[in-house]
Amino acid sequence: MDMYSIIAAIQLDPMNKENVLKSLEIMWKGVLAIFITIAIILFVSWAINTICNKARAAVEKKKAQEGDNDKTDGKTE
Amino acid sequence: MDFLIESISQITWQNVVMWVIGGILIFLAIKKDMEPALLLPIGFGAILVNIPLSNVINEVIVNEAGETEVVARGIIDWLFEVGVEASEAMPILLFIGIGAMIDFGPLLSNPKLFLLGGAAQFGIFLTILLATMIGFNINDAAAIGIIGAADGPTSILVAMKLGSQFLGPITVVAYSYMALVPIIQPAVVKCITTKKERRIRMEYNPVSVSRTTKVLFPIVVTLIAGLIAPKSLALVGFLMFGNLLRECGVLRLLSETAQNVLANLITLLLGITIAAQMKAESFVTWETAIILGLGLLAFVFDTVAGVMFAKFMNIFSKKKINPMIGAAGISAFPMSARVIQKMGLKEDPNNHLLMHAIGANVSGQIASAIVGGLIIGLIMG
Repeated sequence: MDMYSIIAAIQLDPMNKENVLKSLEIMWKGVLAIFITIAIILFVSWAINTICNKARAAVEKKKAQEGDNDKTDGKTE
Repeated sequence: MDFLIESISQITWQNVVMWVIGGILIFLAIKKDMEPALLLPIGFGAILVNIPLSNVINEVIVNEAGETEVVARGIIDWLFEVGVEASEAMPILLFIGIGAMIDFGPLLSNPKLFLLGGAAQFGIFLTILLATMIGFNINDAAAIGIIGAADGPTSILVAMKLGSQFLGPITVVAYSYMALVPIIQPAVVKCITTKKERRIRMEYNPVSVSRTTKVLFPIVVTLIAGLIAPKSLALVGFLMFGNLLRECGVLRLLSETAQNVLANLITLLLGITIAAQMKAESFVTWETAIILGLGLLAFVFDTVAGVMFAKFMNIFSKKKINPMIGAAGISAFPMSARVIQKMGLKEDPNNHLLMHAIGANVSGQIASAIVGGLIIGLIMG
């Protein structure tokens, strides 16, 4: 089988301008959209984790303070 | 005695080629332990559907009006029509299992790894461009490009949604290259990194991730991905649903069922169902050979993009990232992360990169599902 018959057997349309331009459009829109989506997810998940950790630290600090107060009260009694 | 050789007399050389391909897939699954859960059913299915007069596929006749007519239904064609073609149920349900298997902890404790998952999807777009230049129409080119997502269910879903005529080759190529990640990625990474870069140490000092964060994360990702790329919701939503089952802490049995029974059952059926697309007349073509080449390029481009983006981040980052971590940004979870861990240990026995690589890897899992939806949306409008 020579090259010509191979190319003839392949039902392809090389360098179709319309398809190539569409793929370039998909490329820039897709790359932009994925980075925007990832950036938003990154920021929101960082924010949630930071807030949750601060809230947890505050609760633990309050508990520790209450514990100290209880000890002090015990000594006073 | 004609009835004894009726089937034998209808064997074509294309059938024989498919038997050999099926045999190779079974060999790779058993002997080389390459994605055996998928390659074995696909390989056996390839043999099954390519035996002439097989009753596992639909029996079709051409009627007097010249139209094709199904006279008897075959189980594999039926499974394909119901489980994949009608609603893409099988690949989507598989995502519940995958979501339930993933721990996003390493990613949430170092969120900048998210960027590597996004960057490692660039190869998909480059492959789409290449495929259109070769001559595939935009739908087929996009379905071929998504092989670079290194994610079987996403490849199947995109190819189905876009009505690609190459679903069979695309699925087989996607799963085969996923199995070949331990061969493809080290070769590519070594070509584009120096020994010094590969030896960059990364300490693992995880920021504590609260349970509330882990529970909120799948809900937040679903909302964000859904609002920006609504066509990705079937994949991202079910992935995150599986993860919520895992992280909520009150549905342990459901989570375990999703991780084991559901995932195994769907995988088993999906493999043999995909074989419906491996009939010789549509599989043994020159286009399949081209898709094989393009699929490899998609994996290579993705790996290069991930590594290069990690190098780019190092320009601005005080704490250097080992660029190999970028390669784990392709989906192929968790194989890619394991490959990077092995490569890191080979360069420096005390450099443990696994948790960082897992972070990039699970980010790639989310990003690839989103990109799949984005591509469907951009093409179908």
